[in-house]
Amino acid sequence: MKTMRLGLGAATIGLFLCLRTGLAKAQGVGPTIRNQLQTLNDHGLNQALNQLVAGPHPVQLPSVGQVVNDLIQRKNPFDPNALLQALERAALGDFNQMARVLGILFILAVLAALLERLAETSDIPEVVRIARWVVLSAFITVGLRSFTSAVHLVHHMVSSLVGLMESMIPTVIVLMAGSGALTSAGIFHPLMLATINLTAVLTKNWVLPAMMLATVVELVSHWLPRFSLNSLAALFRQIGLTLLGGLMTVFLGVMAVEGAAASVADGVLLRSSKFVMGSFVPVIGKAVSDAMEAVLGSSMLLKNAVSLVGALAIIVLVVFPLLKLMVMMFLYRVAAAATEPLAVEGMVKSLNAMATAIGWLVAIAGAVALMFFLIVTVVLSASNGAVP
Amino acid sequence: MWAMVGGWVRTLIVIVLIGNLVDIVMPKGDLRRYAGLVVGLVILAVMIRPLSSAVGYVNRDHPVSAFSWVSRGPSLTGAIASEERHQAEAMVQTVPGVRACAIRSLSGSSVRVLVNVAPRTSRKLVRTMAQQAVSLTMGRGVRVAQLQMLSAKTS
Repeated sequence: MKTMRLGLGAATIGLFLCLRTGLAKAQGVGPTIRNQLQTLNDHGLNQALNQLVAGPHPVQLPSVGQVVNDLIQRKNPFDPNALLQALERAALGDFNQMARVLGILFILAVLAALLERLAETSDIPEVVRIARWVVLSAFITVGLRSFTSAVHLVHHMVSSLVGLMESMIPTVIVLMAGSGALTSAGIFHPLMLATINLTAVLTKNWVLPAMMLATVVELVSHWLPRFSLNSLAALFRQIGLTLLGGLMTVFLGVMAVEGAAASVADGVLLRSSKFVMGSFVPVIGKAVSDAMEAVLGSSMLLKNAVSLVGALAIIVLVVFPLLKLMVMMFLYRVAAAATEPLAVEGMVKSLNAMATAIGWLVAIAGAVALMFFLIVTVVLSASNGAVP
Repeated sequence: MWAMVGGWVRTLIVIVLIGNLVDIVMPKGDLRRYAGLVVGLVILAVMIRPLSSAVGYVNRDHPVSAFSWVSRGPSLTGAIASEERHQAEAMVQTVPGVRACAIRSLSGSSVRVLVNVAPRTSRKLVRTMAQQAVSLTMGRGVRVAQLQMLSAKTS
């Protein structure tokens, strides 16, 4: 009985959509979708997307209309070559930028090594030890500055991901409801907003500060080896990683269950509404039910196009910071390997610690990006179950 | 939260820094070993200070009682009593002529019943019904000590 009532509701919405776009039977999906595309306001979404991905290496994202047209003509809506070329340029730029920092680090390493040899032959080893210690502190300051910039990079990336999702959600939800997936629309709207904001707040306010503190304490421990605080660093790192792991577990469980439930409910709802339309409305019932199916199908195509654009935007947004972090990590490892023969106490260890910390940052950024990507894909596939 | 943790870590780092400086400057000998021990103790004290202050805070100002952080609002007994009163009120309102009813607990096991009734409603009937409702819901020992009947025109 309840399903019947819901079915009637969906049928009414379908009828409304049909009347808005003109009775679309026998026109095929092309004209209907063009009609819908004209009524859909995707200008704000496209603008937000292009603003978000416009960095130092802009990649032109296709608009929703372009994606739909390309999909109807069976063309590939996005050219990966442009992205790859931009990535290559970005990698070279990051390499250049990081090479300067590395140059400073190498000079400091050579200085420290000279002082170390001096200390071995000097009459007053204490003074030379303090001098070496000062050089090491300059070394660690340079390293910490570059690590802080890496943390800011991840921070900024999470913020722009949240902005992207928040500009995309209203359009997707409207189209989802338009394609008959009323339950999915009702469930996913609060769920998506809550998950996105929870992820962002937890990452920015808890995980990243914990990792930052862990790295600072670890570097200081290598700098001051007599009384070191290595276990404190391990504690902070454990806090950050536990939070991230817990968040991810909860997130995956919730998304999987809600996706399955919403999809089943919508399938039942839509089939019953079609049945009600076709068998209880006399004379034009069959025609209207066919037209409704065309409209719902084209809404779904549009929604998939929007989600596709969103997924592309997430990839483009995430891949540049991740690449930069990877380059940083690689160069720190190279520096550690190169300075090891100089045998300066603490220097190789701190370089390795820096590389490991940036590796954890890559993991955090990757996990957040993966969660947001999963939101888009789960929502996409869950609400596709509605239309037969 | 992180500002506090950051301040704590900063203090720790400064103390470790001073400890290392002392270690470098100190001449070799027995004194150096004792100085190392003292610095280690100071680091330990600074490190457990937040923990010990938290424990002291809980013990001194906020004794831990079970569920003290759960219960906000009327206790279970209070909630049950209020629910019983509402049931009795609802029963009294089923009497013909009664427009509204409010029951207030007095001291001891007696209640005060306020009813708003239509004109020419039997006081005796209302009293009997109120007594029955009260003893049914709130317990046999409870009796109606006062009955106040109003027949104000509520248009």
